[in-house]
Amino acid sequence: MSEAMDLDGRGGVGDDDPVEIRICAGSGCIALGALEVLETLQAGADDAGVRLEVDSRPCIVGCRGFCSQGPLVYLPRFDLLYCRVRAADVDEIVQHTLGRGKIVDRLLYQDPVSGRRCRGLTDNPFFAGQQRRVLARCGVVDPEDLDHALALGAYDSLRRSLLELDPSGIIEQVKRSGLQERGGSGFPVGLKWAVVAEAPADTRYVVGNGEGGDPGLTVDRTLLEGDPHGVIEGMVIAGFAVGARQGRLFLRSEHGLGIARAKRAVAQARRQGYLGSAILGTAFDFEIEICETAGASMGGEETALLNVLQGRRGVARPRPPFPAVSGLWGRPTLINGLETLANIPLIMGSEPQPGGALAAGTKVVGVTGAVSRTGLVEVPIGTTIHEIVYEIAGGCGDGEIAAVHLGGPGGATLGRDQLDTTIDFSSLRDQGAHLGSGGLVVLGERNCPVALARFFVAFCAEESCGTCPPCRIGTTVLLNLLDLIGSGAAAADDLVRLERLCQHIRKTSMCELGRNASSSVITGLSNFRDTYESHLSGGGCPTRDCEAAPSGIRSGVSE
Amino acid sequence: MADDLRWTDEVVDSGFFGTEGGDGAEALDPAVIDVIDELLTQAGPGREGLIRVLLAFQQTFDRVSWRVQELVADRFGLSPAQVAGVVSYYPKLSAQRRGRLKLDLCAGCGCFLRGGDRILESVTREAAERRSSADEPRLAVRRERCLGVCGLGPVVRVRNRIRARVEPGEAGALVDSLLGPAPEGEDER
Repeated sequence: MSEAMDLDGRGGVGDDDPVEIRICAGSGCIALGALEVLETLQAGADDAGVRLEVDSRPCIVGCRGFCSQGPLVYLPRFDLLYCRVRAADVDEIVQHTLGRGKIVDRLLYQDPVSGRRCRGLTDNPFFAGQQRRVLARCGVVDPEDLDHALALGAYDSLRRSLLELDPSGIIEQVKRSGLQERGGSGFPVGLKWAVVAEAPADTRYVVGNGEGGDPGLTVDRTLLEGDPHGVIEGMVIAGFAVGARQGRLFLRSEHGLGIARAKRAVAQARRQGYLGSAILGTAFDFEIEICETAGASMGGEETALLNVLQGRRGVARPRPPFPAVSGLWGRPTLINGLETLANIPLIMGSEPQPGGALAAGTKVVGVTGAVSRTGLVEVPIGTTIHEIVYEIAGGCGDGEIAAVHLGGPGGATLGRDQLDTTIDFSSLRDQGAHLGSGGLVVLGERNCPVALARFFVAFCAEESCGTCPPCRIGTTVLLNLLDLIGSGAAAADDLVRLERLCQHIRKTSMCELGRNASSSVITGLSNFRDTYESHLSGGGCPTRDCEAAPSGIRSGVSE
Repeated sequence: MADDLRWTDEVVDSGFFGTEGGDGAEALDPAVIDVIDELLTQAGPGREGLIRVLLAFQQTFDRVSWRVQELVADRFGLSPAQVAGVVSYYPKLSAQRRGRLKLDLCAGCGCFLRGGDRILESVTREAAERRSSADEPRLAVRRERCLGVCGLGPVVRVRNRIRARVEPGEAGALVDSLLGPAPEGEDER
């Protein structure tokens, strides 16, 4: 690609053509200086006589998921994506691209695999392999501007649902779509809605669960920062369908920017009649209250979450009764993850598709670890892990991929020979894995599966609410055993003990957190038995990863 | 109001919050009483608002002292033990002061894989050194579950700004940057 390539075959960008410039302002890009770029660009654009679209207002957008290359500056008219833009680069963009219609070559993304420079989104392998539906507006819409979202179709589905359908019709359409809960076990969403709607009660609640269990890239943060109205719309439709008048949006306090944007979006939606009383002129009232966690939310376990929302210690309780029957203050409560809720407007936007064409849908996966392109990607259900890791994320560079871990702390570590597993609920279950929060961690040759299992067990031990002994005591003992193994001080029978303990914790714990707490070790033992064994009897960690982990890593969240 | 008072030593040491061993009967700065009243009245009637109020106290005064817990209990019609049970359960709440110069380390998986544990180790060591040598009890090193910018790990948050791709060698400079005066436009914390 020559540096002197013309955009649109013209010599420059005329004064009368407003050029939309989208600057990614998710927390990743902001950390890398996106707001400075924005300020400089605005000043620079004004100088060059080029107006920014939307009344010269700053055109910020939410996260595109390509955080490792931020700050991103995207010019949709030319499908031109600049990466790692600094304030110092702005002058060149203004003079060169806006003024003369030339591409600044060095700011284009260079694919480390092929060495090729990618001009925009369509020729960038990170985006080309994706199918962005739930995240369609993330990176496109200004998340702080309701009018912009409306112009891009926000609340159209709400209008259709409220004005053309009745609650049972909505539930029927959700059922027929085949939508499954995106986090956790993949429970059929329509069925859950029907249970809540049919439970006899005068009051019902809808809870948006933004506490995805995984400490990692989360779709929750991206949705809140990039398209909060999509989540709100899904919640209002859910409220109408199940007969609730109140919703709670439960968010992690770490996601400060997402919380701020969600609060703003709720206020905007209320002002324009998409929330509050008599929504869209109907008799339906619905309110959303935003609740922040104080940490220790059991990775979003439903019964613990209900306790937090009621101002109590966030401990789990046995089920049944299920929250759908007896939740907040004993009332039927619908709990859905944010990604699930954001799927609702997509389903309700049109007539039901014959034959359940939407049954598959998409899944948002956060890819991190030893790959060339980390980030948050949305792929059709049925995509293989191999496709995500090699085509979208660009593989492991020179090294080999040793393993992938899917599903966060309660997830499974899969070996290289299992990369052909597809991202769908049943085939993952066959491999002892689940989607969980959708975290996909790629381990390179220098990462040790034992160290990773230890990291996740430490998370579960810390998060455990302590109600049931198998989880409270079991995870701590498990952690001690893993420490022993990691330090090379374990004997062969320790592996037997480890295995037995894992099964005990899995079989006897009360809630999902405990039941899944040992699954990274169980799958690790079955897929990487050699690695565990080579740690034994003074062998130590072959990758030296275990020794590097300081023992203080699990001593309390705060100093 | 609350913003003006936040993090000033006068407020925390005004006696009301029970300096260690104090019984909380000392004379009160009227401004502090106003803040407490304001925080308490922001909550709705039900227990639902308890955690929000406790978080607000924590943020304003760097802790939820026993005396404040009693006041909160009174306000919500709970026993002090019930409130203490909630405060002691959540990692973000504490009856003791934790230090107001906060350095937040991401302990998420993405950062861990890129050597976040090594950053944690070196920052904790540097902070402990400063704390003893510079007599700086205000320093607090906190581990956050995830700061949400996994592509840039390891990340550290200092004065409300996220520093990306931190190297272990930067630990000392990061701690020192907290001790100096806040650069213009940056959060004092």
